[in-house]
Amino acid sequence: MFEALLMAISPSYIMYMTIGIMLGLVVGTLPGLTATMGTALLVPFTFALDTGEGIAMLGGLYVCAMFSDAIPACLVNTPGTPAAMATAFDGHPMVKQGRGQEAITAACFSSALGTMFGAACYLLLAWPMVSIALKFGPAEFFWLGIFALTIIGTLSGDSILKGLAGASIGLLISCIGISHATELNRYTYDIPQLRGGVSLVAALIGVFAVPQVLSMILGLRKEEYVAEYKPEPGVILKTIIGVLKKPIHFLRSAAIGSFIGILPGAGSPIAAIVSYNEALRWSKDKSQYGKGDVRGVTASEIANNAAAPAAMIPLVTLGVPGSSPAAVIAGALMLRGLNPGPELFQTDGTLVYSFGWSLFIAGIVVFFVGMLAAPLLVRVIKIPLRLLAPLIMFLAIIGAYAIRNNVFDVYLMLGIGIFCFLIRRLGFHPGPIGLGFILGPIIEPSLVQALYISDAIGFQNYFLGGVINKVLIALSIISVLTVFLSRLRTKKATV
Amino acid sequence: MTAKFKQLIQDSDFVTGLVTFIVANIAEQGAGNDIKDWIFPLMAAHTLYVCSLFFLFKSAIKFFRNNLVTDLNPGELRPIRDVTVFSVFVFIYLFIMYYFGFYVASLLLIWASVVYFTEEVDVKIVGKALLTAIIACIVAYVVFTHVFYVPFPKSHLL
Repeated sequence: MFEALLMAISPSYIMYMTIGIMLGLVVGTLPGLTATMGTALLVPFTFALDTGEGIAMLGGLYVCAMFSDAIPACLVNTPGTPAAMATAFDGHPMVKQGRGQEAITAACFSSALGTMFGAACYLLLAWPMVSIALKFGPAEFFWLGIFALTIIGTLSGDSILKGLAGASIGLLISCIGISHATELNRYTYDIPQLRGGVSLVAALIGVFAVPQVLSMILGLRKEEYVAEYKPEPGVILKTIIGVLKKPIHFLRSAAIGSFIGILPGAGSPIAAIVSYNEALRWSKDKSQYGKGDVRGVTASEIANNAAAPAAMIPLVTLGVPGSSPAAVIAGALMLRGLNPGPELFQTDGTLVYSFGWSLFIAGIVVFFVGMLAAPLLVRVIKIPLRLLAPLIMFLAIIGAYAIRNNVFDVYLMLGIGIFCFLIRRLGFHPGPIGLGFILGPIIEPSLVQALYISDAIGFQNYFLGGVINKVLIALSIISVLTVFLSRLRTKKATV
Repeated sequence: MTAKFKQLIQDSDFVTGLVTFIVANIAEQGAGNDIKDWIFPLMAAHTLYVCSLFFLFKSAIKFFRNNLVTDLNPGELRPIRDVTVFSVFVFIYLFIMYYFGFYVASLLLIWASVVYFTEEVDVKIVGKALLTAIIACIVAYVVFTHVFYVPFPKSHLL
């Protein structure tokens, strides 16, 4: 492992990793460009490099994209990638309160810590963690999705029922396309472009960015900017100390992120949502969540970044990538004749460990790059709304188009966006709709697979049996009860 | 009665109930017979029905008790006009994109929107708006076309 560390801290490794990180900053900041797309585009450029340097560069891009997606989420309420959706819940209200620098610093530092924790798990706990992850079958995934869905109680604003309705609408949109059971066309209305389903990125841009642009336009005759820009002296240090002063909050979020990162198919968005939910549930003062609580930003960012290195664990231990960018990295290794899996540990152990160290060091580099870029990026809120609104719409259109190079996605994004803008007037929060849309593709296939399996071994045995299922069901019930009780308490206090 | 009906359609609970009912109905009508294909969307649709019934029931009670809340009154006209004009710009953009390609359409969208939203327009503002639009398009062209190889829609005329 020491030899691997020496490799990872060699100047060439750090240089290529930093280049990857710089590209990751662009990829995450621009809605529509995902870490998967970025790593895939970078693969050909890594052929000229040593294998270790090449995958360090790809890893750097991946982890930095998981941080930089928080920047548009905080500044303009538009997550750069789906993983930053939970960051927007508190990050954007913070910016509106003039705490933009605090929000970006918190996101950057939390992301760095999360990445380092995930990389430490990769280096030290890969085998024990993967043995637990292997116990997750369709029923466990189904309950994990349901557990993540319980967060709607928090995101619903004044009415839980509106949150529930919003999440149902999101789940319904996620059902458009070919079904998981018998590959039947659902809600496609003979439109061929709908058969592939609604692109997750295009839909999220529609849910978050378009209503945001239209709301900006509603208010631009009265307000000139998104928010006031109030850089406070010493805010960076204060924010960092604030994050460090909450070790339990950090450990909980990082552990959730690392564990969910290992589960193939779950990924950073679910990790961020579950972590946000748990941070809220364990918090004594829940009143500020969703209104600009820095703990909301850190919970989400620590988890989604911890999930990125953790997604590499099943890749190097079992040969199964834990996320789409991990699959691209697997492809890059295979193109060089290396087969990811247990064999790689024996044949190229130094390479496997040097990659882990590179991811760990990437966490540190992401922090410095992020902190250098943050003061410049925060100035986006100094752009007048009359200019910012058309520019965000321009980026939203590019983002929706770029993900599949399909103009139809732009139409869908605009349709979903206008619908969400209109129902926002009725008191619907965009969070539950986005949540439904992200969780639908995880809950539904798991439900269908679990139903097929339960046909053979019995519904009760399969869905309700097993320790993991019972724990997840109990956590879901506790989560729902906590929300109801805290709302009841708030109501009583206001009466 | 007409005044009361006007109040009813400005009550957010009534409109929420109506919208969720319509969405649930569309989702349910489109459903087929295979239970494993449709169990999930039907569960979501039935949840929406429950929500819609709650909101409709709540607004019906308010209707009969004469305490409807007209919280959806349109408000000031200027912001609504701005949103409508911008939406029209975006739809025109989609047509222009088809005929003249992505960059010409984007340039026009940004330029026209900035000019429209500026209170006092003079030649300097028009020039600045054009410069902003050109810079945005050049940056997008370099980043997306040359760095990330995104092939943007080309003109069907030119």
